[in-house]
Amino acid sequence: MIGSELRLHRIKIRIWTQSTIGFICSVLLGIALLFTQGSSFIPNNIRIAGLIALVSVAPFLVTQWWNWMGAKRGISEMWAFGQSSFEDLSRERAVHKAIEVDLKDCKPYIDVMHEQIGGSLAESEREIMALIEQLNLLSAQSSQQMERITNSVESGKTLAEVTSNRAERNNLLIFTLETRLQEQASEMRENYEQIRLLADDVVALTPIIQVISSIAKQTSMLALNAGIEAARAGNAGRGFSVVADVVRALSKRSTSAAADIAEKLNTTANKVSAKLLVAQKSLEEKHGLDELQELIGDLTQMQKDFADSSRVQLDVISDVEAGHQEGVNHLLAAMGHIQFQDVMRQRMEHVQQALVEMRNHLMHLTEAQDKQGWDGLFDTTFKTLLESHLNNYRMASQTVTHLAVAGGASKSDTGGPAIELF
Amino acid sequence: MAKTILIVDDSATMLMSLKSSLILGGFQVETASNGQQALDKLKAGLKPSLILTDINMPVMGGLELIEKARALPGCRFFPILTLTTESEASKRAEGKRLGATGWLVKPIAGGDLLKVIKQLLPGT
Repeated sequence: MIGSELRLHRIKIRIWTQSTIGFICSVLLGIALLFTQGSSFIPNNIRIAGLIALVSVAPFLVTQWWNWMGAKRGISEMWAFGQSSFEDLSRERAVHKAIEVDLKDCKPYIDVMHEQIGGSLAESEREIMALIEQLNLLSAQSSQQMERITNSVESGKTLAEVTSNRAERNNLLIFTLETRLQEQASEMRENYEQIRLLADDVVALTPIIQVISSIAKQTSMLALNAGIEAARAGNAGRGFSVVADVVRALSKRSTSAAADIAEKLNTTANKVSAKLLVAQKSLEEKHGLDELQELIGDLTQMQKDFADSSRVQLDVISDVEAGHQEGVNHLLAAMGHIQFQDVMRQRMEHVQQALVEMRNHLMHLTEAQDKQGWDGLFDTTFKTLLESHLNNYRMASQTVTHLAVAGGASKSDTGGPAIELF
Repeated sequence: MAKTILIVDDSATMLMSLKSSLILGGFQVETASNGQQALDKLKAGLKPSLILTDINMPVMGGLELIEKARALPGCRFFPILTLTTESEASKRAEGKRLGATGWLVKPIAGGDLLKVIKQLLPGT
């Protein structure tokens, strides 16, 4: 029994005890008198009867007075107890009321927290989707670049191959051209030399012609003189005159021939000079061949540089390809990490459901204590609700957290590999 | 021609991230938000090379989808993978019994997911 009930019980016992003792004493005294004095004592002896009555009543009165004092004290105590009980009760009622009101107020509190969680989940989902969108754009851009680069690679490879083949052919042609040019230059030098020699020979002939002309002139003079002498000699010189005539004719012909030869030689000398000039010019223009050779050399070097830079470009493109693939791998890893948002969402939704459960249970408590005759027993308690969660978790991490906080052992088997093919 | 994968999940972020990963892997992707939507697409003629499904979804969950999909003509043998937070061994056994080809637990790295799928779809 609680303190106040015990006090009340004691008061009751005291009153009953005192009253009962008093009553029993009175009865016993009366009975004793009746036995000792008989039934006739009362009318025969009023004083004795009075005395006996007084003696029997006195204890009764005393005991009743005692009872009365006891009762009065008891009533005072009860009144005081009642007062304090009433005050306690009032205070208890006030406390219960306050708790009831506060419990009812938990509904909006829990609803707000429920929505806070919901709002956070919605916000994180929005941000994650925006992040995925950006990653997709990045990936698409990178893929487009790779496509362009791949096309460039193909074109570049083809061009490099064609250029390489052409370069080989060109090198052969250049070699052939160079060789021909060298031969040509050599021929031209030879040509010039021969023409120069020819010109020298022609020039060397000129004095001979002069000699021939001189001889022809002299012969003509001689023939003339011979004719004159022959005419002087008369008939004896007739034969000599014929010879002189023939010699004169011969000298004429020689002079004419010498003139012809001189003319032809002059013409030939002029032609040879002209050819010599041309040959000389050509030889001088051999310097243009050097420039051409230099140009050919530059072209060859350009081809080589182009081939080298194509190779470098291909190497760079290979590196870019490798870098792109690495980027793709990182992107795939990022997409895997983003799945955490869904895992978190499910855990938070579970907490939201638990909040609703808590709210409903608290509402049930406030309703129950208002019911008349409620025995204070619940169908469900926070303890049973918590235990039920342990059997309903989906994720091993939820079970681990629960056991770490609340203790106990899991009845479910949440093992198994993360990837299993059946 | 790129192979088609049907992804089934009630989470929009999961659908987006999985779709991005699979497209990076060279696949075409169809999506559904629950088992019923996925089933409707299959009945409408969609012939995916593989289905990747969550388990706990509204309207129709993944286990029910697996059971009903396997009953459709032409859908008995293509691979069906689950991708779920569910780690309960009994659910895993149930999935296997109903015809799932494999059981994957979230979160899974994109590279690992592609490896598993390419293992089940030779030539990709």
